[in-house]
Amino acid sequence: MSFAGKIVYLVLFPGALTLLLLGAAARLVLGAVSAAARAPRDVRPPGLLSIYSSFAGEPRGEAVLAGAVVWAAPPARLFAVSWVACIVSGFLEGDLVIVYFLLLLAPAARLAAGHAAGVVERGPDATAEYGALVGCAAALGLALAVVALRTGEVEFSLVLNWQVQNGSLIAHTGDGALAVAGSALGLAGALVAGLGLMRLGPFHVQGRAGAHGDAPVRLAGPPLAVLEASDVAMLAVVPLLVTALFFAGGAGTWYQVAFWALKVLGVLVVSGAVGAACARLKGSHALAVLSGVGCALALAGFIMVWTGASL
Amino acid sequence: MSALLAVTVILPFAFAVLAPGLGGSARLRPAFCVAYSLAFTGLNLVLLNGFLAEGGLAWGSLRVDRLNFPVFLVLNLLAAAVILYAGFESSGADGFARGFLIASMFAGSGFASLLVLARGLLAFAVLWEAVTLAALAGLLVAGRGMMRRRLVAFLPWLVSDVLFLSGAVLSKVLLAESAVLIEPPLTAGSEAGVTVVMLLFLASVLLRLSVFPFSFWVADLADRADPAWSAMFLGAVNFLVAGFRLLVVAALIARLAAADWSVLLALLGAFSVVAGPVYALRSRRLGQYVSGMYAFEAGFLLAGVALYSRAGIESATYSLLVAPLAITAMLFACGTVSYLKGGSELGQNRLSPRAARAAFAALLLSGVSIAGLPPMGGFVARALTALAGIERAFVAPLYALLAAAGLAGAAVVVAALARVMSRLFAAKGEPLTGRRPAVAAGLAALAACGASLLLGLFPGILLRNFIAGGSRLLFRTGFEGPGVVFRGSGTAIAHAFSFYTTWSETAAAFLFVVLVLAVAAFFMVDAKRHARPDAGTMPDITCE
Repeated sequence: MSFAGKIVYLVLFPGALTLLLLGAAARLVLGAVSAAARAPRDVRPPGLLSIYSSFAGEPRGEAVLAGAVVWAAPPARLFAVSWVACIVSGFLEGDLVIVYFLLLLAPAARLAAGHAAGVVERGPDATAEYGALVGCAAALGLALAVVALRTGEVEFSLVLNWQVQNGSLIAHTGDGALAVAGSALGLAGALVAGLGLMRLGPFHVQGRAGAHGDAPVRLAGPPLAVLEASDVAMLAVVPLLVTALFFAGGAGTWYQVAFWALKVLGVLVVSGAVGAACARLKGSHALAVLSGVGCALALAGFIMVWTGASL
Repeated sequence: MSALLAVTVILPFAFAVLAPGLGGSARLRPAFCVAYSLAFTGLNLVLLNGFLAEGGLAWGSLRVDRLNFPVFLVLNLLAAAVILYAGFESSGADGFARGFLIASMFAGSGFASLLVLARGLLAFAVLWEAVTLAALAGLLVAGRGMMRRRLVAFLPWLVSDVLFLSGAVLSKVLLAESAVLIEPPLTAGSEAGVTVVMLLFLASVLLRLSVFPFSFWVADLADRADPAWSAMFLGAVNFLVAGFRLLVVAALIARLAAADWSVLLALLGAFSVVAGPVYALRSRRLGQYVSGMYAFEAGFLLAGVALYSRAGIESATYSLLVAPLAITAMLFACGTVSYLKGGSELGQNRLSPRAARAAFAALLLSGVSIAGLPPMGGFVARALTALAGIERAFVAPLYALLAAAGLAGAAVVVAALARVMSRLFAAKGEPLTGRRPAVAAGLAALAACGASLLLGLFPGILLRNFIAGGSRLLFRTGFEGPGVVFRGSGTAIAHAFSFYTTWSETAAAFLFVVLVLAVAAFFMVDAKRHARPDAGTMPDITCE
C-alpha cells in the first residue's frame, strides 16, 4: 500500500471527509433523540453550517508559537480520529493499543488548542477537562483490556475475525456467564468513555465566550472549524468503534452490512439517550461522577472477565 | 574500528582535562563545546556504521555487542547534545566553576560509557563510583541555593551506591562471583545469599531510577542543580546507566533466584506508572513535575522488565533507549524556563512562548513523547510494553490490569503536561529577569526531540539492529530459570511487534496531512487578511 494511498484513506475514505458526512447524519439522529428525551439543552457538537461559518472567521493577531499549537492541534485531532476509523474499518493495520493512544491524542489536542488560545485556563473548567480526560481514558483502557482478555487477540482485524467466528463478544457464552456479564459492564464503561469522547451530556463543556482578552490568537477561523469538524467526526467513529469491539459480525453480504449499520445506529441512539438524560447534570462535579462511574463499571467488568477466565 | 572505539572512549577524558581552562572562558566556551559536540557526534555515527557492518567491536578487554552498544551510543550522543547546551546556557555559574562543571560532565559521561561496556563486577563498581564522584563534584561546584542543600538532595544517590557496593561485596563473598552477568550454576552460596544480593542490587537500582515512592530526590536535585548538570547526570547518564543495570539485575534474578519476583516487580512498576503522573499533576514546582515524569518512565521500564518475556524485555530495552531523549529535552526546557522566570515555581511569572520558543516546543514535545502520543518515540515504547503486558495477561490476567494502569497513567501524563504548560506560559508574558535564551541551547533540546520523533517513525532502527539480538544476550532462546518462567513471543504479539517496525509510512502520512492542513489553513487566512487590509476586529468567540 503506497504512501499516497494512505493519505487518501486518511483524508477521503474512510477518513475525514467520510466521517464528516456520517457525523453530520449522526448529529441529526442525536438531535431527534434529545428532542424525544426532552433534554434541557442542546449538547451536540456544531453542525456543518456552523463549521462553515467558523471557517470564514478570522483569528486575530499574528501567529506566535502558541498560535502554531492552535493551528496544528485541531488537524492532529481530526486525523487521529480519521486514523482510528481507518483501523476499525480495516483499511489500515492497527491494534487495540494504537487505537487507545489515538483516542487519547484527540482530547489532548483539544486541550492543547484550548490552552494555547487561552480558552481553557485554570479553574473549574480546566479541572473538569482534566478529570474527564483521565476518567474516560481509564474506562476506555479497561474496556479494551476486557476485549483483549476475552478474544485473546490484540490486532484489531483479528478481534473482528474472532467475533465473526465465535459470535459477537457480548453474546458469546463459551467462557461462562461471568465473562458475559463482565463484557456487558465493559460495554457500559466504553459507552461512558464514548460520551466523553463525543462530548455529549455533561461532557459538553461550554467555553467562556469572549474571555481571556490577552490571547493573541483566539480559537476562531479555520482552527475552530477543524476542531468542530473533529467533534462531528467523533460522532461517527465512537459508535463504530464500540460496535466493532462488542457487537461485530460478518460484513460479506449486503444484509450483514445493513445489520452493522443498524448496530452502529443502536449504539448511537443509546449514547444519545444517556447523554440527554445526563445533560441535566451540570458542573465539574457531574463530570467527575460520570467519569468515575464509567471507570467503576469497566473495572468491575474486567474483574468479572478475569475471574471467569481463571475459573 | 578498534582505534575508533579507543578514540571515542578516551576523547571525553581528554576534553575533561582542557575544560577547566577553555570551558571556564566565556569567549572560548561556546566554540570548545561546539567542537566537542560535532566531533563526538561524528565519531559515534562512524562507529555505528562500523558496528552495523562488522556486528561487533573490541578494543583490548572492552567488547561492544548488541546489548551494550545501543546504550553506549545513545549515552554518547546525548552527552554531545548536553555539552552543546552547556556551552551556551548561561543560567548557572561562570568562570572557573563553569569550566569545572563542564569538566565533571565530560568525565561523568566518559566513565558512564565505559561502565556499560564493563564485564567484571570490580571494574563496574569502580566506574559506577567514578560516575558518582564526577556528578558530586559538578553538583557542589555549581547550582542554585546553598551547597549544603544540594548535598542533602544528593544523599539518596549515595545511599543507592552504598546498597550497590554492599551487594557487589556480598556477591564476591557469599556467591564467589565477580562477573556483571553471572552465569549459572553458582559454585558457592545459598538461596538466602542470592536473595540478599539480589535485593541489594534491586533496591540500589530502583532508588537510582527514581521508581515511586523513591522519586522525591529527583525533584530536589532538578530544582537545585545547574540545568546542564541535571540534563547530563539526571537525564542522560543516570537513566541510561541505572536502566541498563536494571536489565542486568532482572536477568540475574531470573538466572539465580529460586522464587518468582515478577509479580512484585510488575506491581512496583504499575504503581510508579500511575503515582508518578499523579505527583506531576499536583506539582507546584518544575522539579516535582520532572520527578513525576521520571517516575513514570522508570515505572514503564520496570513493568516491561517484570514481564519476563521476550516481548517484555525488548519493550523495556526500547524504553531504556528512547526515554532519556525525552527526559533530557524536558530537563533542557525546564532549565531554560526557570532561568528566564527567575524561579521554578509554577503559576508565577508566566512566560510568553515567544520569549522561549525552543523551550516551549521542547517541553511540549518531550511531554507528548513521555505520554506516549503517536508518532513520537515514547508512543512505540508504551505500545510495545502494553502489548507485552497483554500477551502475558493471556496466561495471568492480572497483567491486563497492569497494562490498563499503564494506559491510564499515560492519560494522567497528558493532563499533567497540559497543566504545567498552562502554568508556565501565558499569551502575554515576558521574562521578569529580562534574560534571553541562547539559540544553540534551544537547538540541543530540539535535536533530542527530533531524535525521539525519528525513532518513533522508524523504530526498526533499534528493534531490528540491536534489541532483538541484545535481548538474547540477556535471555537465550529457550531460557529457563529456577523460579521465573521466561516466555517467548507468541504469534499474535510477534505480528503486532512487526507492525511497529514497518509503520513509518502510515505515521508519516498522518504527520503529512496534519502539517498540510495546518499550513494551508494558516496561509489561506493570511492571504485573506492581506487582501482585506481594512479587516476589523474579530468576531466574538465561543469554544464548545
